[in-house]
Amino acid sequence: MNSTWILKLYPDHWRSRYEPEFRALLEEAPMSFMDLFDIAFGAIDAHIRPSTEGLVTEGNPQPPAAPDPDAAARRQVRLLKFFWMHAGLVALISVVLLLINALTWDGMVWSAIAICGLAIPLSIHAMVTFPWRGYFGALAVPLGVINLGLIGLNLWVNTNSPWSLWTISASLVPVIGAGLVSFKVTSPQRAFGISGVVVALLCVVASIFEPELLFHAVFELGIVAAVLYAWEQLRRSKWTLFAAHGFLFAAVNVLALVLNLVSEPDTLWFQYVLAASSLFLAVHAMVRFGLLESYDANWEEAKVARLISRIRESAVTDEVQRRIFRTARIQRSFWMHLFFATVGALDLAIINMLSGTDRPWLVWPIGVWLVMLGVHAGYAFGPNRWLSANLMFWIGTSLGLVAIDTWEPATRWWFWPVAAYGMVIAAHLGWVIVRPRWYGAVLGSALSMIPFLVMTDRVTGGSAWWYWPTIGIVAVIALVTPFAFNVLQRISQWESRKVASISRK
Amino acid sequence: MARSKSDLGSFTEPALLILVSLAAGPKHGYAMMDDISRIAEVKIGPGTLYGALARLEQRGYIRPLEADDRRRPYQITAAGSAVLREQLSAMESFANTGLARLRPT
Repeated sequence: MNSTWILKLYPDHWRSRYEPEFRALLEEAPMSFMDLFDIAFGAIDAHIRPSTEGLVTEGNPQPPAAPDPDAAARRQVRLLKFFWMHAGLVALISVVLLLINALTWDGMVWSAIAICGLAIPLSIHAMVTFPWRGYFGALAVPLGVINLGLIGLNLWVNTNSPWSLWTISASLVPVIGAGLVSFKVTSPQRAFGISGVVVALLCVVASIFEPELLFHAVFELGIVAAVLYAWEQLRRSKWTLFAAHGFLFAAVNVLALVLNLVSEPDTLWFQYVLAASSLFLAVHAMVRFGLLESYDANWEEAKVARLISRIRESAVTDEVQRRIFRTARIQRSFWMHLFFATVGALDLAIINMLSGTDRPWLVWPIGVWLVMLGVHAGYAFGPNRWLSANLMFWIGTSLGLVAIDTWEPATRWWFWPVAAYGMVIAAHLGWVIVRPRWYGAVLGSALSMIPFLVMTDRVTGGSAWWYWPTIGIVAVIALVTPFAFNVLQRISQWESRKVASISRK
Repeated sequence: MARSKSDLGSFTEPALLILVSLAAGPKHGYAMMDDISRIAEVKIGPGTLYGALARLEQRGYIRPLEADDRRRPYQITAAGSAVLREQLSAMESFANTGLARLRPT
């Protein structure tokens, strides 16, 4: 079982102290699927009750020093550099979008939507690079950015209805819950209970406009009570995780049935809840009774043996062996993903058939799943993991956009997002092939503009104007290259100074 | 001042198992899991093991030794031995009382 990715859930101070030995343990010990839950609970525990901050041990006053203090500093500087590159790129694209918007002004501030879309991943990146108040910051800042965008959209589109208030109210719930835990106001259990009560109160307020939402408030409170009860039984080790899951399955379905019969007796929908929750319970049962686990372990061992048999014995160093184990785990996790996606798709097909509609709406979630599977396959089997995954994402989303465009009245709008993301792929390809990497990325994206211009010329039915900007691009590359290498030198100097300053601290 | 059992936190049982395992000599994580599964027939998950190890280390009941490759062995400290002895004595006294009550009068 590949459990090493889950280490990212642990706090930084814990990882800097225990990660190497914990990874060694995970590589040595045969892990079961349930160990993933154990590790995830361990990560939650390490966040809630940090025991490695200010570590002092009797008889060993100094905690063991990191093997290479500069390595940690270099990692920190690399993360900082990636963040500032990301921020710079977002700023640059935003300026370009604003300029295009201003030059082609038609009364619409469409650039604001695009800039908000770019700001959301940047805000998540900021919270990863500069953690602030744990989960609270990680939730509050990106949700704040999303809500600002939605408020703007609300002021611009459908101004008569304050619909953005609902998304603000909904996103306040997890923020309040995380805030109560991060600011140490109360325990995670109570925070969950308080968040649940807030959701129920929101439903009560909303019932002024739609009276049937009052039943939903009761449903919410029932679910929160059931989760808290199961949580408490787990905490006291009275129940296994499977027993807790079984209890929640029964509670959710009984509550859904009652809610359905009371609020909408003419339209039965509880069977969808039953079908979806049965799927998760069935998968958990397979794990619980070892049906997935035994298949898993045998597959991984056989894969490692096959990969090692292809290499000369003298070449199987510790590093090569580590990579082989990693490859086997990544590929195994892909097959697990495929298995769950297939089961999920079958479940959706059943729900789609039961819903009595002619519209095959299941193609949309399955389409998204297929794109994710393609990305996972690229990462697991591709020659360069990240480039292959990125390429698969581009191919998958492009096919999806073409399909949507064909489904709806075709205006060939798919060309623009596909071409724009194609430039990102070209930049990534340049990053992998050319040295220095950053120059390869710039060169790749600049050169990819040439086919983009030619295609745009054809799509817009122009008169072969594409060669003028192409000459401009080539000229800019030639002129900018020496200047850019100077910037590179300055960035390396900044990196060295920053590494030295962090190491001194 | 002697520390009470409640100092071991919520991982009380894993912490005791770890201390008993280390009482036989220093061990790294996998060796501890293996030893505990043999002596107590209990499987401790990796997350639980390292949660308890971190707490025991913070309280000074165990100390890390020089890492062998990436595997770091741990050793029980004098404070750890004392608290383990205190706990086991309390459990022994409790067990003796229970067994005495079971004897036919």
